[in-house]
Amino acid sequence: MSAIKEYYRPEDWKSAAEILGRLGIKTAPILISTKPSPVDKWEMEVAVDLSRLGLEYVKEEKQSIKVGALTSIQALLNNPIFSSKFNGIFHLAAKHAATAGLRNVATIAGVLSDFAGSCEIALALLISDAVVSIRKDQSVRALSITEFLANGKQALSTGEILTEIQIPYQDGVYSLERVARTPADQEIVAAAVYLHLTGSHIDQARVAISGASPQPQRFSAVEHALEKQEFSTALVEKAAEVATKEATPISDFRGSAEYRAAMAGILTRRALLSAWNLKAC
Amino acid sequence: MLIRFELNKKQTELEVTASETLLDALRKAGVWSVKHGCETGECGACSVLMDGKLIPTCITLAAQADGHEILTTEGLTEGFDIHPIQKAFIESGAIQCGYCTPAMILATKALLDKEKYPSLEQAREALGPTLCRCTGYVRPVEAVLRAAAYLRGEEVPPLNVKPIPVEAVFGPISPTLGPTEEPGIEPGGVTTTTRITTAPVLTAQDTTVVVGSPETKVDAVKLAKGRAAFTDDMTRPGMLYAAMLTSPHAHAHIRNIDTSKARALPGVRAVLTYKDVPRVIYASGGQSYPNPKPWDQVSLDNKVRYVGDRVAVVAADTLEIAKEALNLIEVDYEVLPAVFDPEESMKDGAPVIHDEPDAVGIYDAQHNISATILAQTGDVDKALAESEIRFERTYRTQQVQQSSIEPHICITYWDEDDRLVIRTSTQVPYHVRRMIAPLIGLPVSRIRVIKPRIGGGFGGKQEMLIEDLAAHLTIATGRPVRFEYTREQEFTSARSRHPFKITFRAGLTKEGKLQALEMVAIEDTGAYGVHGVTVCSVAGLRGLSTYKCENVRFDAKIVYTNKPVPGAFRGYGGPQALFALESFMDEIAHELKMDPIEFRMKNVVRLGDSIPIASALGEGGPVPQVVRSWGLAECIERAGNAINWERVKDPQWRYDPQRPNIRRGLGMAVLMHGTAIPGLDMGSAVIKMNDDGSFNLLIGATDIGTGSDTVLGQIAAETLGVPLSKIIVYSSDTDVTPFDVGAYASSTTFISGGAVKKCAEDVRNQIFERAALMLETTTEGMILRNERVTTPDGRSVTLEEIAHHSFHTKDQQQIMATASHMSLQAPPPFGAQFAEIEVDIETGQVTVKKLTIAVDCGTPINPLTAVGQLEGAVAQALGYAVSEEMAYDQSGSIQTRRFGDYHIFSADEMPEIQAFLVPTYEPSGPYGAKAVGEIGIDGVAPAVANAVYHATGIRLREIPILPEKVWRALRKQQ
Repeated sequence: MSAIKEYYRPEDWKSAAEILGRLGIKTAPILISTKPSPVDKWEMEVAVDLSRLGLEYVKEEKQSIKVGALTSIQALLNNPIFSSKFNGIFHLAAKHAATAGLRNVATIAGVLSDFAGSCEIALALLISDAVVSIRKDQSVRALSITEFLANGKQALSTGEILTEIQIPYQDGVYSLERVARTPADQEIVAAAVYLHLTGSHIDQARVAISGASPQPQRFSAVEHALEKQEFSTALVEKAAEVATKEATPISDFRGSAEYRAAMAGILTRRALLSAWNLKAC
Repeated sequence: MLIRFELNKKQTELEVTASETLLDALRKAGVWSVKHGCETGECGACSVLMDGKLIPTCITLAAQADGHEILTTEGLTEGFDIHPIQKAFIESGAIQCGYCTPAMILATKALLDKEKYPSLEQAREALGPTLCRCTGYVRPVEAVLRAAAYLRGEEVPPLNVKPIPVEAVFGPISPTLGPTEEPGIEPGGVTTTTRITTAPVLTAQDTTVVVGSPETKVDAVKLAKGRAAFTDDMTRPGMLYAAMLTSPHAHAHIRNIDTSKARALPGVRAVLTYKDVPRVIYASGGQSYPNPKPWDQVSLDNKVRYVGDRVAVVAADTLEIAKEALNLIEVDYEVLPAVFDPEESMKDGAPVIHDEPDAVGIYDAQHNISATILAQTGDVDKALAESEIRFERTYRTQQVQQSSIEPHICITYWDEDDRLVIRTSTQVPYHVRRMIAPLIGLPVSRIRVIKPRIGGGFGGKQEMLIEDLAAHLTIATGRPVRFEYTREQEFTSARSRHPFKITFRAGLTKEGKLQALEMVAIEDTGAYGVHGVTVCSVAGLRGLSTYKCENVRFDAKIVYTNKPVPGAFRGYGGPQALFALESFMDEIAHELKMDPIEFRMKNVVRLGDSIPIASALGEGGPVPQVVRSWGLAECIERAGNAINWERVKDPQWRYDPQRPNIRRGLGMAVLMHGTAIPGLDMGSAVIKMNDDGSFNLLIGATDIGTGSDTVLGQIAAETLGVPLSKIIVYSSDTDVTPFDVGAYASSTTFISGGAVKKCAEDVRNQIFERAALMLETTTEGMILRNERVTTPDGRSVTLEEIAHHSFHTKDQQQIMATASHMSLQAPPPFGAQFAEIEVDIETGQVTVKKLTIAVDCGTPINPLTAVGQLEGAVAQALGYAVSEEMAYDQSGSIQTRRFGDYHIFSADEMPEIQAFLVPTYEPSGPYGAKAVGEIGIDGVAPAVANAVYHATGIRLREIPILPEKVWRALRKQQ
């Protein structure tokens, strides 16, 4: 049975802050993920609809793209910026995230609040070194996406709202690889890679994997193995091995821990090779 | 709180609660086109357009709609007008059960509002949010493109110019064994050889107008318009809402239940447990009288046998109160050891699942063996021993769920004569009426079962699953009760497909001729017997019928486990048997270095052959069978050509130079199913004539979306010389329509259609007699065609004139008839399934690229609905082959409790499907028809498994073919 007793749709930040700051009653914004829980299992007693706060936007700036936290996943998919930039990984991740109906109601903040569904958007943000903006009343703080996701539900304190994600433009190549039961099913494992290369020298590497650990995360050992090295087949194989070793997956009906760890390696290898091939293009 | 929004272009105010979903609010407001299919936004049945965007309303709060524009299907047109998108869906055959149709139509509108010239890919993508379990999405995608053309103002050719991928409805006609005037077993046995050589080939080509025509479904308009047609599309004054408490334990005694707190909750009207309802033993499978044993269920028990088993049921003023009351019921469980593997379950010392003394007909309760089957013909042991070559292989199949988009739902109420009305989403209204009577202590005469439109069944509703609980609550409270499963309960507490372990043994000559075939099966029937023994018998029949062999044996055990209960599911044992059989045949062919098709054709049954196992085994008892129509060779040719089977001989084709990790493969399977249960299934019909020369056709046959109302109407129309529009079809209501066993066993066209044809012929004879009276002549040589009776000398009267004469002029009478039909013949449809796949040899991921199927279903009465049956079945079979599986944790609790995890295929990820009909003429069927409803689900799994072997050389003997299984097998191979 639903816990929701009150519903508010604040028109401005001041009202939102007042509502979200109430003590003694479980208050939370309505954030729909790509794998939402039934309404009667939502835990909040006060549901806060933030749709009037202007958090649905995609703004292209010189150094980055800014995405409002309540931007729908479908809006990401439809936006030509995400088809043309970042080697299209956001477009791809959005497409895999859910069906179009769910993509219309699921938001980027919703996706980042729940790792039960597809995590490919989180992977894309992780390897992009995105920064999230968190607002409480009039104050805003910034947090790296890595830190934000690592803290899980504790990342936000009472009254805080995730308002924006900044995705910096970087001079590098991005790739995303996945394995799933069917083409549209949630991934069993997915791996995303960002490489900044000078010739064949890897200046910077970011590798993020979902399905190979309790939540999507950067694989730092893989990144260390790659950085400041010359790109080579042997290095890719080594990175794949490290990914398998660094994986700490659980087993479920989509795949066992052993399979997931193996896929972490295989998909890391593929993502690295895809990125390298993109660079060659 | 009050919300204001624009609903279908009209300003609307609704009073809602903070927690109320938009779905509930709209339905309360009578917007019935918005359907409940799940609670997680994943099926899309509840979709509306909010400000032009398609959104699922089950995860949207009603309050969020405030200030927005909402469009539902009701808002597309006014009155009798039909929107071009609706028209396209109606014409294209895109509507089967119609439960998801309003959402699909809105999804189409959302696309076409933005894109005037949509691509095929965009059409598939647009329908992606709306899960459909009936159509396989082929026709709906066509409908999107057709609708776009309509909206562009283009001339769109009528569909019946070239309606479907069938080159001709009636030709070329494959060989037929005939004629047979009446079904039955020939005295003195079967003398087929003479018949083959002397009998003429029968064809209805010159004699039918409505039969064989791709008529639009008689229920298509109301479904396209989202009218109130389904069980839940109504309300009753004072209606209560039921909710069910289920077991969290796989096996436990209930020491006590304390319901006092729940009963004390304001708004709760009844709480029922095992203490409150009579203990009457029954079996819930919707089957003919007497239900097959074991009878091992009661409505509410003091023992639970699986996670999800019934514990208590509550009726309250609102569903929210009912659910809150469930949390207040205190159950004292004595948790018992549980067993989940059937082979473990049979061992000495395993937990005894049915230790109750009053269960009837359990074979060996101490070893959890619900039933056994042993059937054989010839001498299998001798033939195996004497065979030059012997093979043995074991295969395993998994538990899958029917996943009809409309959950189980019923509404029960007392009518003005104190009779209990059960309005229910069922495939078997008459069985429900008979079976529920003893459980609720009412005579059959005081029970009326009404079947409205059904939002998909696929066997899951061949069951009295929830009606008894709702009825108990109505009896306890005196008030109407609505009881609907949640999607989660569909997975935890409804029915599913039986998992099997099947071992085949075969003996052959060196030349590859089958000498002996043995099938040993262990079937997991979960916590209750239900359909266990009959599904198993069908598995035996299907596994041992296709290939000609005098020495066959079926040896099976049906075993209890502490898992949710399998039941009837389209194919009913066939898919399990055919996965094993057609994989086995492929393995033998490869071992013998023979072409897989050549090997099969060397052994397959053909026209005139008897089917030996049918004399020893049958769902309703053994009934000898002979093949009287056979189009298999043409099926293989058609479907094989469509997939370009020749590539199987090119080793290089398996490799893609651009993608070194990909291997391509082709596989196939031969299909042979049954038509109805011989000697058991019965259908009947009533036809009465109206003033204007139209006819009411009343049938107990249960259209669950298959189009049977249309097909039966076509048979009546053809026989009565009228267009289909002059047949008013009504099914099924136990107070109004005559008896029919219901929608299962691929029987409706054949059995109920036989009844309709007989009935229409009787009416036609009465019409001739009336015409003879009017024209002062005899009935000899009269023809009834184009709504007119014509005599050999050229005089004629219209049906309207005949009706008026019969009602008002002379020897007044109601022209009407009733007829029943049963058959001792169960003519098998034949078919061929082909698959093209790709295997990623690093990840194990199998991607099915194309599926082709060709089926000989005799005469397709309606080629459009017949092909739709194949396409939908193939889509279900695809999930069975590669992804669907009810997964459990170690405590027996289901992990796949939502569509997102269970995952049925959506439109945007489907492979190309091509379905073909290969018409033959089945002498025992109405207008030459036999079954088409189930055969399409039998062959995808073996065809895909065989294709994986072709691609990689690995043989997977267990489905679903998940990436990890392939990956492990490939590693083992290395």
